[in-house]
Amino acid sequence: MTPWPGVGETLAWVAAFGLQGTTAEAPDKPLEPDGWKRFLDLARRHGLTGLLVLAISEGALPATGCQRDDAVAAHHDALIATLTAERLIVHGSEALAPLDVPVKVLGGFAVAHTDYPDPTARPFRAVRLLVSSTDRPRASLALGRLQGSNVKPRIRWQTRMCESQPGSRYDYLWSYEWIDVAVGGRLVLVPPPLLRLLDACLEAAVDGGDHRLIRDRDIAQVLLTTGVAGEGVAQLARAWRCEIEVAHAIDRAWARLRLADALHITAWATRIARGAHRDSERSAEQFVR
Amino acid sequence: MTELSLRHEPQPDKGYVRGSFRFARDERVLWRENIGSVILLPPDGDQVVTLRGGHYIWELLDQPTSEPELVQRVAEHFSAPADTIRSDLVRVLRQLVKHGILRSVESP
Repeated sequence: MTPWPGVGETLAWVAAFGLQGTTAEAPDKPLEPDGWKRFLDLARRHGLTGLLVLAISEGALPATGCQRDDAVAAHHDALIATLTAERLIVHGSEALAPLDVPVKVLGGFAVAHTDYPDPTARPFRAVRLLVSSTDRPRASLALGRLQGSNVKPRIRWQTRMCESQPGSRYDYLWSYEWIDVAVGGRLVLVPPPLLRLLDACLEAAVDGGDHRLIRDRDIAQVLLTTGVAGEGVAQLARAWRCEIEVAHAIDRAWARLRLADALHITAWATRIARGAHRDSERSAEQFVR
Repeated sequence: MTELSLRHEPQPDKGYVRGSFRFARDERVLWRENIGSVILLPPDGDQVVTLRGGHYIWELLDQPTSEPELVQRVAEHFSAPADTIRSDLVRVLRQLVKHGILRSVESP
């Protein structure tokens, strides 16, 4: 039994708040106390406190005074975690500067500071820095010395991407124009929209069962606000050999946020995602036989 | 965590540098605005400072501003007597300086 019948729908509405074309519907009156508690827990878990506070403050989501205070308090906590993460970026940048290792930041920080009208709407906790394979050992050592850091060097999509390209693996990344973002008096680099989108899609793909709606919002936010070309997305996804993951992530984001407007890229994503689903069903049937 | 409020009772204004200095944000401060507060993380130290009801002051401090200028502008903004505003404001400025969130720069 669902704790409150409209929780899923309201969460989707909050996740899509401010985006054009969503068919998700907000309740027409404040949630009942039990439903609200469950809803706020989920909003917190899905990284949606910023959008929730925005929706309430603009009067778009009906809420009692106590509910408004709860939402603001939950977002306050999320913002403290965000600032703590940002400080790790600043300290990381300071630690890597003497080693001549440039700092490139991916994930929540990158989208919060470039794709959202106000970074406050997009809290984040984890910090993901990108360094070259050759720099990784000394960068890990330097970052591991930082207080409060928990450095986990991981080979993720960046490596997969680079391996698909001829020539220098690292240089390939720099053929894109990265963007300066100021944080704590320092400049760090974040990826251009096309790379941010693929990063968001692949992060959503690796989330697995721990999927968060803010990932869907990131995907929609980049696609709907940056004017990133759909053809470029499809081409790069193919080149990186992750066409199915990217297509699935875009297709799912559109479905979860109840976005009705089809773009060229979302039509592509639906075609690829459903085709892959059919192929996988066919393989399963053949296996059974 | 520290909370600063502009609604506290006024405190005596002793030993406070005023007039010839202006206050400016330390550019290394990390911050976010929430409804009703500005959350600040100073460059040194782990203590988060919450400036309750201080959006307008934080906005003014984007540019170096002297205490008299701040008092005048805040009093106008809130349609409140400058004397009442001054004592509250001085206390908040002092705390922000103490936490390393503001630095004082000499007036030209």
